[in-house]
Amino acid sequence: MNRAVNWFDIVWLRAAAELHRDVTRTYLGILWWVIEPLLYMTAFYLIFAMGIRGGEDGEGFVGFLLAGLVIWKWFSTTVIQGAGALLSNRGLIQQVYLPKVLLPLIPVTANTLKFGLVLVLLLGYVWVFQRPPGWDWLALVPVLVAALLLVAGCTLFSAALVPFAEDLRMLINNGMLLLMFLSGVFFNVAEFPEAVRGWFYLNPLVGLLEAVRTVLLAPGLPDWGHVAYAAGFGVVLGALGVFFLVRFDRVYPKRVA
Amino acid sequence: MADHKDCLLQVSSAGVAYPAGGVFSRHKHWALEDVSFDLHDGEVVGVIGRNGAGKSTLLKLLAGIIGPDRGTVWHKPGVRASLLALQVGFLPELTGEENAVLSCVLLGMTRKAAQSRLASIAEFAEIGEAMGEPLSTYSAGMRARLGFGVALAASPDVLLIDEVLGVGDAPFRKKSSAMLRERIASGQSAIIVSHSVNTLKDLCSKLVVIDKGRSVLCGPMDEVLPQYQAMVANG
Repeated sequence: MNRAVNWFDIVWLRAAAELHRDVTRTYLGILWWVIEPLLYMTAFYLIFAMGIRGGEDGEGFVGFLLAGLVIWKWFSTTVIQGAGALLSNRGLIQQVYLPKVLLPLIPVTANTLKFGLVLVLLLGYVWVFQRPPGWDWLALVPVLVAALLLVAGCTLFSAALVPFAEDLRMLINNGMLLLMFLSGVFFNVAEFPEAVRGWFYLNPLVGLLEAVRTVLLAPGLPDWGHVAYAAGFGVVLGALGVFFLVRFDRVYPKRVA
Repeated sequence: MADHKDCLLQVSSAGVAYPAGGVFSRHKHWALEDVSFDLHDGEVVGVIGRNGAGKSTLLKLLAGIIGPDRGTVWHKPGVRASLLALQVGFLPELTGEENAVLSCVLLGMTRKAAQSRLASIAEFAEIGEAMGEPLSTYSAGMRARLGFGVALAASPDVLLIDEVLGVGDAPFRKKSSAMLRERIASGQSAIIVSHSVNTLKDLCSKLVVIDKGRSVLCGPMDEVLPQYQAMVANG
């Protein structure tokens, strides 16, 4: 019992310390959490809505982009930080025994809290500029739970494997940009030709982003199959990650020494 | 089956190998080959050996940071052994108080338990008002004192000490060393690693000699020490 409380305290205090650092390290502090997705959005808007796509449906595109970017940012930041979780705590895990499974959960917690704040702003934007909230927004709850499972699962999995091959960390860092292009952050995969669409949906982020947009922007319910796929994907990777992190709990300190 | 009677901790033929080379490489470096000894309640065991004999690896093994690759390390159920580690997980942007709580939590305490010891940590570390200031404003001495205060507050069942019997400036070194000795005298079980014969002779009742990763001698201090000195004299 006390041990479970201690584990919770470790994750919570370290996550709080990370947020505190974010806030105090820069002059704009907490504003950066909002500025960052806005900058991305502006760039994509300029390129895609006004450039390539010829400016059609500008206002709708902003909501589309924002919804995609906010989820994407949550995912990519957490997985990248999680992949380095054991390496960046190498000093700590040489000094005391800590269950290694806690370390990737720290960025998951911190980034989920940040995401919560940004989500409130996103909902505000959608309310003001696109459509008033309705009961169907409640469908967002299971969709976001699935998103959390996917984020946590991928983070645990990469944290578990990176200490065995640091190349994997390079792969994750460099692959993120590619993955963003493949996840439909700034285009709608549903409009793709049938032949390639199926392949895109193998990436759980594609269906997940679509689900978020369906609930928020178009009055309607998400494709629950896509939501379940994303959740299942996260659970399987997360279970594998936890298995490795527990199995090699007392081996990792040797590998990251 | 080993007999665990009265033992807090029992090491039997334990060895630790570090991977050498990539993940698919079979090559291993055995930092610890074959070590056996046990620790009884209230006992203070000294471990001595040349540099590179495997002393630090042994401490990590005893603290449960790494596991044995052969042999066994047995802890009595519920017994926690941890390194006297200073400034564990300290972050410069947090205050002294926040760091003390975080550090205690990392050493296995709940947040509540940690908060209840804040006053005694602050008093021991002689930090006073500055406990509310960010750690980045602390001098090296203040950090060391705070770290030592936390380490003492964490009080594991078995204290594992690597050489350091004093930190900070001279007066504080005296105080911390005295504090540690007092702890040990009052029945704290401990394992102390050192290459100083004098430190160990003072504090320990039992001595384990490690050479090239093996425990070559083990027994009561007054028996083993002369043998060790003879061994060193003969090269």
